[in-house]
Amino acid sequence: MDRKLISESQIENLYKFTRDHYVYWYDLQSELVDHLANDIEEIWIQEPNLTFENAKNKSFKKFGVCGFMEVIDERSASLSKKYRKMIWKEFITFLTIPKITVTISFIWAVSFLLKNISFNRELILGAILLVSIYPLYHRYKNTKRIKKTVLETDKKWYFEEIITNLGDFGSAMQIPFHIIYIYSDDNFKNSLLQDYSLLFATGFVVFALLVYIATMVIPSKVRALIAKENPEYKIA
Amino acid sequence: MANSKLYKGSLQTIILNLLEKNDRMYGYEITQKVKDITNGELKITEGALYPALHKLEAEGFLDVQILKIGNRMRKYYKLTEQGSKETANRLAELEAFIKNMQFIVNPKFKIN
Repeated sequence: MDRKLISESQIENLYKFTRDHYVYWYDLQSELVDHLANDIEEIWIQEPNLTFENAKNKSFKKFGVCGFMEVIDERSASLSKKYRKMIWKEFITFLTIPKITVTISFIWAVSFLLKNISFNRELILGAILLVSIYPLYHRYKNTKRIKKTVLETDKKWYFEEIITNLGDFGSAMQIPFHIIYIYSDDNFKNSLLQDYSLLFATGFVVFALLVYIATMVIPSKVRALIAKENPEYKIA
Repeated sequence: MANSKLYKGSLQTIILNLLEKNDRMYGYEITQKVKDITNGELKITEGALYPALHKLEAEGFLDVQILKIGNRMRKYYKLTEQGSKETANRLAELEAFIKNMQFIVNPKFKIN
């Protein structure tokens, strides 16, 4: 007897099944659909008369009581970690030759301005505000792009969503607004910025570099990586 | 069935070792291979396999390629250069662990 195989429409059914179980990303859906399809075909060898629905449920039970949730959570954690590692790897290049000359020049320039300009507090506040607002714009622009991609291709990609939300950095991006609040306090003395200009300048340049890397350098690298791994990846 | 708690800590090493020997593999193939090698004694659960694979991928030990096979997409995993080095390290650690366990459970055990 010929081996019973999964049909095209049953594959579509499995994609819908993963979506109904909170797996919204095509890359993760595909991996789970292939797993379920293989397992169902294996189940049919033992029980050829079992219906597709019953075989599917039997296979799904093997994922445990939480279903796909553990896989989703771990995938998110793994991709966030990968994103952090990519940011860190890129950041290190700014601390080594030749890019370190750019980093030092920026720190020196910011430190010089903080020391010699009377409105140094307003200057640093404005600069922090500008750099902090950019990630919000990045998130808005890319969320719109993801929505457009979903409309055009019906596919969403997990890593793209992680970089849009800046991974774990998303919540860290609120820290500058707390700093702005401290700096805006009337009791905050401009002389403090002059006395510790190098320290403030280093902090600001490190923050600006991280924002630049996370929002401008890494996204294109991640998209290239997704495209390399997934033949069906298209961006709007 | 084997006591899964005893194998839990070695799951990543098992996966790395299989990929070292089989060039590239996909998730379901790994579960079946482990089942075959151990005569059904060890069954890797789906809930443990994919998190382990995704962790190894994030660490940079695995490369990924998705291909269309028949009517579905299939995600293959392959060791990176860094992954091959890691496999050697983890296997050495596992062998040392097994040796120590043998000394503990059987103090008369000797290596010739």
